[in-house]
Amino acid sequence: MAANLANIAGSRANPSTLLPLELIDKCIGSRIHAILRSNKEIVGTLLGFDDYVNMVLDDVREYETTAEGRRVNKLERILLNGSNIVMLVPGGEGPEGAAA
Amino acid sequence: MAAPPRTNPSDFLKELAGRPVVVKLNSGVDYRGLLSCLDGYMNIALEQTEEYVNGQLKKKYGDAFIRGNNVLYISGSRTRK
Amino acid sequence: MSASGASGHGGAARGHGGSERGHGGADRGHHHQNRPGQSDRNAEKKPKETLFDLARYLDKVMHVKFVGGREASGTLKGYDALLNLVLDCTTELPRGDSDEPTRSEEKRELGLVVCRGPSIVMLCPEGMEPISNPFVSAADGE
Repeated sequence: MAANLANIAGSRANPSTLLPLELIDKCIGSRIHAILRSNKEIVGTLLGFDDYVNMVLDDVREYETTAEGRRVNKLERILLNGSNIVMLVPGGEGPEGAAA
Repeated sequence: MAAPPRTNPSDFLKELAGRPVVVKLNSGVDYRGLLSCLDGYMNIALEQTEEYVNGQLKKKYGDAFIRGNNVLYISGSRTRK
Repeated sequence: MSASGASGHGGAARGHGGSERGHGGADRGHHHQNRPGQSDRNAEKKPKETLFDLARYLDKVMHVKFVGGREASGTLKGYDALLNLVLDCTTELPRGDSDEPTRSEEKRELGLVVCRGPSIVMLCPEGMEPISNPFVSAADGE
């Protein structure tokens, strides 16, 4: 479904370019780092996603960065609402990995 | 190369129906309860709902309806009975 | 009980008002483009052109601003009709607006990222930032 959309959406673009949703499709089964509109970030193993890039993630860590520091929350499997996502980093290990 | 097993959002939601879930809103408030149903906007109906603000139980509701635009994530709780 | 929630998340960040989002509504447009009835018509017509031809900026450094105030810059490697972008060697910049002390973050390297179209507010190619008016100073000097 999502790969299908990627094809449709990309049909007008230069075929030699890297299509965003294809790239996310390739991330299925591996870790992904989602940066949200707020001061939150979510890292988890991508199990699947849909046209809106709502994502099912496993083994999740939720990071909230505030002036006081960073709060971490561990979760099992979640469905993350795609409307809050700003950036997706394939293979990203989250704020801790990026800072190192 | 075998494609990794995938669970799309709709598959995940089918698994979750009738089970205990945690729904986190953008405001940081958590709702815990049994998922009775939901739709494509992520509007959610919960039973035996508990409202947590700052991790503290604030209120209980028999049935609750959450408008989907406020939802940050839905999480199943495997550990919970 | 699940692992969630115990720590609490009172810090309701800016950009969380219900008004700015409305799940699906804004994104839903692309489905209409692909309705069976319309696809025949579109096939005959020239493909609809986007306002901003991103093909010109492939392999160029782009600066992106997002809903909620985050900013990033990176090399444009791909895009689609919904303005989702693929950026390489991406740097997330500290927030430009200093009026939100809780939201300051260090500049950091993210590498290859996908930017979500619905969350993009503005994008501009590097080297296209506004400069001071060169004619003002010239006029003043004379």
